[in-house]
Amino acid sequence: MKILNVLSQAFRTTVEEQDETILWLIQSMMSKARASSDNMMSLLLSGHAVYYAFQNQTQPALTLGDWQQSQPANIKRDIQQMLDTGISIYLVYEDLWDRGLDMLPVPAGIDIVNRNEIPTLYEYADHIWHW
Amino acid sequence: MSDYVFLQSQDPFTETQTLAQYQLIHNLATKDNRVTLYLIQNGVMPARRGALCKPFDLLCNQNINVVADRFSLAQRGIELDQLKSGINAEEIGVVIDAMLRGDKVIWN
Amino acid sequence: MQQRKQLTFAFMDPPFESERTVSFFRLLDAALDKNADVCVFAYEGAAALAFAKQAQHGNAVHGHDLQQEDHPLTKTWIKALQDKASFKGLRFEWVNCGLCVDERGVNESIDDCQRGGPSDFWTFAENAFNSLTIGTR
Repeated sequence: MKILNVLSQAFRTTVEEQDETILWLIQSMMSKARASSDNMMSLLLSGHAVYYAFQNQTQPALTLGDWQQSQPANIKRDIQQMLDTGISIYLVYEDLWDRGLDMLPVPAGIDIVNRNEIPTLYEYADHIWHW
Repeated sequence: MSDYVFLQSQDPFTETQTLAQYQLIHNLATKDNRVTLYLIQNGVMPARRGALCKPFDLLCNQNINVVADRFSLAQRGIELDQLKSGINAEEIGVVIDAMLRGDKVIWN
Repeated sequence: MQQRKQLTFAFMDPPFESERTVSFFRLLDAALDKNADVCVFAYEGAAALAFAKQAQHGNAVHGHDLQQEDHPLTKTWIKALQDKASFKGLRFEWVNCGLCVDERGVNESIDDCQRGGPSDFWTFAENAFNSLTIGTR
């Protein structure tokens, strides 16, 4: 299967789950996905999720009363792990532009696409999983 | 070329991401893909005659099959004769039909 | 005889918080109407949809006691779909993400709902004719 995962929201779960749960889900499926060379997993970061390409540190650790978070999410690590396992990652340029992120250096391995190029990604995929 | 069905639950009045979704749908249709826009939940809002949303109207004037979920319309008290020209109401089973044909079905 | 097709769904919303939950169940019902086998991966909040301890209540604002209110419960919806599938000789599989169940404390699911994980969703999708994911907001 050629899967295009589309993620357009961000920071919803990063505190409570100590993960972006969709990045976690995709990584969790990779052992199965890699069982066949016919499978391909890719990720399109759009909307607020473009921020995930530019995380330089772990998420801030939450403190409530005497409770202290000990394992805040590390999105940068997750993005790199995904790239290292062969997941293609794309960013939508117009969403970077809207958010003032378009001048930031894009991490190696991540590709930028214009909105009018997204159909090509959709065409190539067997399934589009919009999370 | 592929067949696409977008279940459009997000609406342009409260969720700005909807406009980017409409743009993608427009772009897919202009590349000769067969595209159905199945409006569901608050996604039916721009389908009512008089609702102001030019990006949505652009899709209706394109070669895109725009249909509205009957149940969602009934919930909101939108009668069939109150829909914009060219928009039909359908039961949700048409989405399953699309899945069973092998269309690419995507939830927005 | 036409071979049945399997459709796989992934869903993320808990009960009672989103209209998406209703749309999701309507899709499952419609899939059974169309004689499809159905496989569901319930992720995150959706792990609570099958929680066996969901309970109805009355509605004092409307003057309904518990029976009169007959409040919907998603566990009842799942049971209804299980029964429909069984009657029609169709497959209806429901897998909750186990970690999602644990953190929410909704470990007690109704019968015939399984505990699993992301690899189950991949397997469901790989074996399905088509798949649909409904994310949350």
